[in-house]
Amino acid sequence: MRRKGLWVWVSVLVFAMSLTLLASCAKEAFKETPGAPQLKEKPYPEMGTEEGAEAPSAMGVAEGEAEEQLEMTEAEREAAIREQALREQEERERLELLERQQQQAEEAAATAEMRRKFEAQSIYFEFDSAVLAEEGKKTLQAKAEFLRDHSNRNVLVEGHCDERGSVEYNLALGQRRAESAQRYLVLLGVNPSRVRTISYGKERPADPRHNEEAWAKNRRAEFILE
Amino acid sequence: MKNLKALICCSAWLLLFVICSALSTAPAYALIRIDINSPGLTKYPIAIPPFNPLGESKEELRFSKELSQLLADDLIYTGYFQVLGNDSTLQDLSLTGITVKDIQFRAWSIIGAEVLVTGGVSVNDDEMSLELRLFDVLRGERLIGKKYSGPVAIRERMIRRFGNEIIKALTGFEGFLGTRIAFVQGDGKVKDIFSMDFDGRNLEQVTSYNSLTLTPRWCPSGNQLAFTSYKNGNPEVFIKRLDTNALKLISSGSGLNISPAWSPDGRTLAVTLSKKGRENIFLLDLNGRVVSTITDRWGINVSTTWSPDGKKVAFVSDRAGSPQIYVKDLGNGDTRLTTVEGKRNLDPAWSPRGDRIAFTRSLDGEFHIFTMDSSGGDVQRLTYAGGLNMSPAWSPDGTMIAFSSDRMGELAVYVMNANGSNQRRLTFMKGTQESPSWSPVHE
Repeated sequence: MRRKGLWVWVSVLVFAMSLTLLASCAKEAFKETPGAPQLKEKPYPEMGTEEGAEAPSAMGVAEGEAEEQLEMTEAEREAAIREQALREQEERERLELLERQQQQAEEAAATAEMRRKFEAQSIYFEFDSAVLAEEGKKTLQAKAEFLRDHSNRNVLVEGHCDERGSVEYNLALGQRRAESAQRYLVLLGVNPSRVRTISYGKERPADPRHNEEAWAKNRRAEFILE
Repeated sequence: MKNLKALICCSAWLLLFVICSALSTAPAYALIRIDINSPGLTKYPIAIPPFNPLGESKEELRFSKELSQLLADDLIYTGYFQVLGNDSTLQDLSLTGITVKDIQFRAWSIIGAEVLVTGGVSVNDDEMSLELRLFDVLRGERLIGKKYSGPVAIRERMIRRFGNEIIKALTGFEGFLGTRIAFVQGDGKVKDIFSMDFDGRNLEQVTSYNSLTLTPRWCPSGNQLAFTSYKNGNPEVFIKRLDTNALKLISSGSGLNISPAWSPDGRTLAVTLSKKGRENIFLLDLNGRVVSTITDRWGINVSTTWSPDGKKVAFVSDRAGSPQIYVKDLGNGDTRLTTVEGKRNLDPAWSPRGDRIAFTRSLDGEFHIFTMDSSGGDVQRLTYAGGLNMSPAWSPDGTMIAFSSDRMGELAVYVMNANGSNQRRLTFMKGTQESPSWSPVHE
């Protein structure tokens, strides 16, 4: 009856071995799904599974803290996004403004050049006369053409005299000279409503000296672009 | 027979007595001594020793010296007088008294005075009492005696009133002491109106519009100035009241509104307006409404001046080709050319005495002041110096003429006697001074 005692020890050994085997299997089963429940709780897709894969131990350790950290950065992220949008808007506006300024400067320069060319030529008169000289008529023709090409522009004709005459007589003579030029422009087809006149008599000399040369320069009509 | 002889004798004596008394009450001489229109003006010798303080105060002594000196300066300014009596040897004479019985006329006559002024000054609180007398030295008689009282602050006005009395007694003319002259001051870009005393003192700025403001003209009552200004951009006619500084726009049509000239009744202004390509003279009321048309011709018609009776106007017109002076009778409409010589005649100014018109003529490239009678005769040339002598303006008594001249560089305001003598410069500001107008005498 000794053979019956050996079989008992073998079956106990086998039983113990299977128990330990079972236990290690169960551990492995546990290992296969590490931290899955925690991963699902994360709200940020960008965080990715990488972080989730690394995280388990850290998250396991300080879960409450991490949630707080997540909320702060969310606020910061919102602020950062808004700021970025604002900066981009400002940059766009600045560039627009620069462009507009440049455009305006170019326009102003072009207008100034056009005005300069138009106003550069005056017409001149003989002493005590408002009669247009041939030279003056040619200049007026050029002005009339300009006005035809720029229908949004008007002209102010100023009449001037040299100093040899009374203040009052020269105011009247200056008016005659301005009107003389005005009439000729109208004759050349410019609408009269586009041509204003004013006299300055001898009060605004182009050349303040008191000699023939200066006087000849002062007996003039000037043209101001409006 | 004895009765008849006695009767005749008595009658003869009676007649003689009557004749004598008639003679003694009739003026034995004409007061008027000075002919301002004669070409050679010799100065009339007048003695004005320092006035007498009638009290003991230092103030009275100071005023006595100041006021006799002011009267002397004013009378010298007129150009008719040579003033004696300001050196120490004559002061003793003045101490003897200020009324007829006290004056040693022979002593005054020895030093060459023909008339003598004495004055007595007394001051109480702030009130001054001024006794002023004018004596004929040769006859030892009083010609004028006046007493003025008022605040010390207006003592200059008292002196000037008496000065005008002297001028009137000796020349027949009203005098202009105390009047003002308005003119245009220019600094290159801006022209504004200034005014000064008749002798160039007490300068004041009247307008400050940062623009062109031209041709001032005093109204007949002396409290307003009419002028043309570009302050709104276009030449327009304004009136400014000098006591309130109120500015009124009178005429602002498009084109020219220039050359304002007051009618002698002060109720209308002649103004040149440009309409339909012509420049003509219109009469406007003081609201700027056209009352009548004075000229209606092709050409330039400008620079109106009125005769003192308001019945005629003189003006410049180029209707005959070049600027000349015409006179129009406003009653019958008759218009006549008055300047028959000279290529260009401008700036007419009718004397307040009515008999003469001053004007500017261009000759040999220069401009000079002339006068003529109101029909264009008896033309006299008054200026010879400088290249531009323009815009003559008479003093209110017609004895002096203000004008602008460039004889010393830039245009400045000068004055001279009506016959062209005593030409002297009144303004010395930087820039140009021109277009003078002389105020009336106003109290």
